[in-house]
Amino acid sequence: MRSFLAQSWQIYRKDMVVEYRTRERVVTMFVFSLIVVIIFNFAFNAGADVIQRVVPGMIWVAFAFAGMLSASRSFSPEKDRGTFEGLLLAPVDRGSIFLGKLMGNVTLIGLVQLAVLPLFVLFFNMTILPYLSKLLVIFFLGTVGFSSVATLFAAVAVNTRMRDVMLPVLLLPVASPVLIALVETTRGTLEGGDWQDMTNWIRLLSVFTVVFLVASVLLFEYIVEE
Amino acid sequence: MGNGSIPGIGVRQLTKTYGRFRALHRVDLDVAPGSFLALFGPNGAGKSTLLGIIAGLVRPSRGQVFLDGEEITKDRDESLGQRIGVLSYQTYLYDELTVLENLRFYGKLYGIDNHRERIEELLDTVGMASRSGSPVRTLSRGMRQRVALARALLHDPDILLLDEPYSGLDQDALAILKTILAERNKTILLVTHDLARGLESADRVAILNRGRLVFESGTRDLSQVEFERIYRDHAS
Repeated sequence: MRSFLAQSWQIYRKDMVVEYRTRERVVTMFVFSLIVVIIFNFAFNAGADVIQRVVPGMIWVAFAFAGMLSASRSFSPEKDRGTFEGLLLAPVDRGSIFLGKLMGNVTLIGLVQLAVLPLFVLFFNMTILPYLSKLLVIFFLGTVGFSSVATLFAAVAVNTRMRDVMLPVLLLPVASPVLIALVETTRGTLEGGDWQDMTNWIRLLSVFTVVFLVASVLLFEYIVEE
Repeated sequence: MGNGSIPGIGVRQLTKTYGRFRALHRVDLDVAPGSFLALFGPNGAGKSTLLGIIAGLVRPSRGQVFLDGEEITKDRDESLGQRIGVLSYQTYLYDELTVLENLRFYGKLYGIDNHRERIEELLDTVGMASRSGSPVRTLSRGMRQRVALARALLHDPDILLLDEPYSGLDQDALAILKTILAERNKTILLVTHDLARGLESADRVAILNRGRLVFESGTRDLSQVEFERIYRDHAS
């Protein structure tokens, strides 16, 4: 287990060094999310109560698509340059490659969330400070759950000719439950709801995250084999 | 790694299909322990697919591959990567990392304890010690291939799979590769279009055409002219 995590860490570390030097993914994700905030800001010129109800949806639209960008780019340059084969040739559990890639995606989405969430607060006059700890838990669970599926399907899509079209087609139907749960729990939290009011959604979010995380680690080996 | 008995490679009735396309068809091939086999064939003959199956990158549709008599095609064994080194026309190097960072990364993945010493030694061998701090993107094709050679040898594998390894190498680098291959302390399977170099280095040669093994022979009594004629006859 220790060596499994150590191998994942090496892959994660390498991905982060590469990203730090190119800033390829994080800039694209940030710009995309920023555009979503600006467009929605102009599109929804509504009262505060309506905004309160639609903002969680806007937030997760922005982060879901940014997450897809990150997941897709975590494999496509490796595949195009042939370095992915280099990883597959190494004597490592292929699940550890998945975990390393997943950790990278969660980190980058987290960074974009840190930068873009304050913009949502600013543009839509939201109050989040009293609910910050709850939001942190929801965002973390949701980001890990969504990224698990996104990373797995990105590995599937990268082997197809229409990889950019294939990823959303495969991912969005499967990830819908987690996205709906995220929108509902975010809305519930921003409306001052208690954990108890959101038990079912939190349960769904947790089960989805755990199931897809474990299943993806186990299935990755079969997905990457030709 | 490199210090136990050198394993041989056995391929039995190996078939690989992609949809209706048959990349390999019932291929039987043996590479004896410590020997060097050069595999030739026209584009699309199935050479790289065969190498991919042996390396554990491609799952065969039927048939078996044995290393040291042990079947490796049934379930993937992580330790396979420790025994096999692959040098391909693709370098498996990250452009954004330096030469040293690339080798350290792979050294850690391969679990090499004394990877610093090993990397220094290999960079000296391939003549890239002075460029160890350079990002790979700043290197020429030949330099990258030298670093790729160091990467392939990093874990001192028993088996070397070479897929067009001469690509981009200058005369000095070719000489280095030739020296390494001549040491004969590894089982080597080379895939190349370069008939002269393959014939010169290998103990045995084989020709693959349209997924079938159509010729196999030792190189001792085989002249280049004769082999070129055989190749033309079998690979058309």
